[in-house]
Amino acid sequence: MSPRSIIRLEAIKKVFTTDEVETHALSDIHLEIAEGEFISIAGPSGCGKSTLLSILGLLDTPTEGGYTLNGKPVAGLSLSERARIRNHEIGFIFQSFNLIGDLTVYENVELPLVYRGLPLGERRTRVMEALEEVGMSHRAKHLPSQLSGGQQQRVAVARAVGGRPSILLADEPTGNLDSTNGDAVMDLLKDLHRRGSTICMVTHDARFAQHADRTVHLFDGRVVEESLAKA
Amino acid sequence: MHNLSDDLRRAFISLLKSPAFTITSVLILALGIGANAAIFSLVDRVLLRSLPFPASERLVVLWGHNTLRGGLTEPLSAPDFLDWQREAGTLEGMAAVESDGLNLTGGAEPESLPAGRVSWNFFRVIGVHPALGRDFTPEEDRVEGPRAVILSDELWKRRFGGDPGILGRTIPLNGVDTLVVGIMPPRFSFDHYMARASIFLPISFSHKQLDGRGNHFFSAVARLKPGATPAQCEAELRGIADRLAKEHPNTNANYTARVVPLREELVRNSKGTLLVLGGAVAFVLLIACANLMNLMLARSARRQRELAIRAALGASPAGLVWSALCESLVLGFLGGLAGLALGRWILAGLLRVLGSEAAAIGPMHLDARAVAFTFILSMGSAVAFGLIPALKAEGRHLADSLKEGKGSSNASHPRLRGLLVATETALATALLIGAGLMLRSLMHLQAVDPGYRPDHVLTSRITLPPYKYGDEAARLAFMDELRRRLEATPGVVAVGLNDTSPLSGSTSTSSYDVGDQQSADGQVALSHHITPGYFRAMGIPILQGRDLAPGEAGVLINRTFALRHFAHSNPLAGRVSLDGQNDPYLPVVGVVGDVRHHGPAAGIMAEMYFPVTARRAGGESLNFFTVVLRTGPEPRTMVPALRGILRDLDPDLPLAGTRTMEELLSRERQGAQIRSILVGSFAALALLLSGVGIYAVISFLTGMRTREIGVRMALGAQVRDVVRLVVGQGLRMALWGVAAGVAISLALGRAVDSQITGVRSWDPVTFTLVAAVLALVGILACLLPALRAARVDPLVALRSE
Repeated sequence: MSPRSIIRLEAIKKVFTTDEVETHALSDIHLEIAEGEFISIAGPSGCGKSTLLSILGLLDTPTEGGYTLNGKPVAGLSLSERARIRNHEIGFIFQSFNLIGDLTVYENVELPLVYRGLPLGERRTRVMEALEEVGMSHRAKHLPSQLSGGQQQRVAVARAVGGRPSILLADEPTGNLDSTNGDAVMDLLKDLHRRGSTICMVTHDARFAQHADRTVHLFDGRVVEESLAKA
Repeated sequence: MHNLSDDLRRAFISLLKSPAFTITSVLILALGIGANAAIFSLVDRVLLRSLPFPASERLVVLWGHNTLRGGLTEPLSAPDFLDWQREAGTLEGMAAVESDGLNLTGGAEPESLPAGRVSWNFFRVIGVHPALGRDFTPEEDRVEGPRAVILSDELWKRRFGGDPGILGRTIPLNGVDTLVVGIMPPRFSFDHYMARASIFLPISFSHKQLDGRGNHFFSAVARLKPGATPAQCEAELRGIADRLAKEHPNTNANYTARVVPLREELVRNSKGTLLVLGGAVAFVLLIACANLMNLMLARSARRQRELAIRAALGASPAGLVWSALCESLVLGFLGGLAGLALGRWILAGLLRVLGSEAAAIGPMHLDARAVAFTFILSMGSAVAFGLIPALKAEGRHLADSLKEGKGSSNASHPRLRGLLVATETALATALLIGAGLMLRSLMHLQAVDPGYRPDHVLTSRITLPPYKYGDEAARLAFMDELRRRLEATPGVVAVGLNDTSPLSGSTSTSSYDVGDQQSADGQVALSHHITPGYFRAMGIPILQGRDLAPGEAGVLINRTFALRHFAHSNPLAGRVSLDGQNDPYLPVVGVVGDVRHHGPAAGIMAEMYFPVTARRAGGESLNFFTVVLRTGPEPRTMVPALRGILRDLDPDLPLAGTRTMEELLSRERQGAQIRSILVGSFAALALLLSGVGIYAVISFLTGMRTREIGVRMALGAQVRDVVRLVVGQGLRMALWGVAAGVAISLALGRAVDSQITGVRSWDPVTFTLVAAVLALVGILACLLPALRAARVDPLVALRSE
């Protein structure tokens, strides 16, 4: 039996219009991501990687085309429903970590679970599990400013996985890190993938893109190539 | 230091480039400064300026004081006054003062004039002399001496057209030709003792008064010798009083002296109110400064990069602080100018609200002292709200600030801003609680039952001059005829006369004897002399028994009197005498309801109602009384009829102080009303400013948190989560402020206590309501920024870095 499809994009098009100038950020994107898959989206700066990731993460809507998440179309959903799906189905990992400065590590990881309305006990279990998973449980009471960049990104990963989402969307997760910390975060993502997480990672760094099962190459808003990892 | 004018010019130009910020700041400052300038003018006039008498710091008021009757001061008797005057070595001069009322006849209408009776040396003691003519001679101060009068400038101009020829001529006062010897300077007043006196006459102690050591009826003003202090004077007078107590134990036992500086005595009534108002406007200014500090912090945060570039180009840290401070100083100056303009308007409004109270203070405007005060206050405020933001602007990390678009969380100073919001909320809470307590006090005063029905009641005072009504029969005949004619007048429902009716300003307190030990021990009660029909006219209920019959020798007592002496017996079987020896015992014919004689804020006293035919305490003749009419139509419409009847009876008798009881009651509540309006207005202003402050801070902080909110929304935060986050932040600050404000109010309880009646300074209802209002204002002020934040597009927010 083939793995279940988590994401299916059909003929996605995104056009930005400013002062009567149309910019085609994405054109005719077809993409399917299966459960447990680790896919990377690669391409040069300005090719539409981040726009695609925003659409995948329900932070943006396509101008045209169909988007099905876990078998359900997401076009036309209300803001509130989109927020709910982001909270339940999607885990974000940002390039600049985006931890909230005046919340502790524990509180940052707990935040999506609070929005989900989980009871305190369950939140505590899940937060500690997520922090254990990324090796940051000993820093639970620290503030983000007290951590290194690599440690902050590990906390961001813990926040993303704590909600047990259907898919992790990582936007240049190593972009703000030195090579050592970048490698460590990449190892962490690979480890998560090994344990069953579905990951979609945007990167312009071919060195990191090759860690994925499959790499989708974008250029000028179009998929120009798909490559599978060498066995 | 840079060239000051150059720096200020640059600051001014910089402010011109941000018109919205500048106008908002100037308006906020003007509100705080204007309110302070207006109240300062009042405080300066009433409390700070020296009195309009030479060396006024040496003027004191002398009182008697019975050590058995608590802290109350008492008037003096003529023999004690003369003994003190003769023996006190610390005094340069000592004069007697008493208020009186006389009828001026000889014109188209007789006029009742408020008068001051003073000993001949009074004007020398206070150091003010007539502008025209002379003051009194010792001979004119003897009861059999020549009759002399000094006119006020106002009466001289109004009644005699400012004719200097009036000097040396006589005018008929109470039917006696009296020589005009002087005209006082314009605006001369000694109001506390002689309310708006139009004429001054020698006090001329009668032989009876000179023999009556127990007859206390006037005040004394004295001038200390240079170097003498009020305490030394009081010690000396107490020594004299102790000796007199030994020599005259019947009248002077436990009677001693009290010396109070004249200024302290004059401001006693207004000092508390003015200090509360001063505190209120100081709070408003502090709130304005907190708001401005927030605005300055926001401005410097927005200019973070510009300041960093200046620093990178070599501007010194002190130079950056100074240039930021210059902007505050320019704002302070502009706010001061606008505050002065606003202050004039606020002062005019204050004087309108104060009404008659303001008239007593005299004409007022923002003078040079107020302008100087405003300038100092403006500059002080500018430093207060400008210095910390200036120092914070300088203290930022240069490299961070220079990075294009890098938002620094330090620039938002959330803790400092939170502290400012909490501070202004605390001040607004304290002010609102004060205003709330005063409003509750006013509501209490309006709800208090005065003991009579004030609607449809007209009162007017009539003085019977001794030259025409010297014997009792003439007085009683006049009263009887007046009552009879008024009763027959259409529109009059009931008529009564009373020598000391409620709120008339006249009181008579007497000892009495009901034949028990308690009354023999020196208990006192208010004594009235009335005609039958008085209770019906005033609407005072007769609880037991009946009213006096015409010509009947009986007495009515009030409920408090009955409870004091007849709790276990039938009061109608009791009897009352004024002293049990010289006075006959009169049977109690009725018990009436309690009346708040001195106004709704005053307590209830035991009262006795004797017929006008009965002897008055001290044997004084009944030569003035209040006519009380209960009317069918509006009471004011009955004034012409009353005046007509009086003219028919005696064309030389004027009506004085004609008022409806509702007007008198309203005047009694006026003080509480004024305090409520003024403190309430400043509290509303404080509430508005603190609401604006919370809104501005939360808007700014929310703006600085746009990215964080975007992250939260990306993580699944719903609109309600974002609203809760933003409102929660503002509300937390506001609630800290409310808690601090409650603590301030509890600490200031004693200051407020003196301004309220019938409500405790820690009234839980007021405290709870104010806390709820502040919380609501906090929520409303946060709601707009919260809803704005909830509309943040997470994608845009995440790209905002």
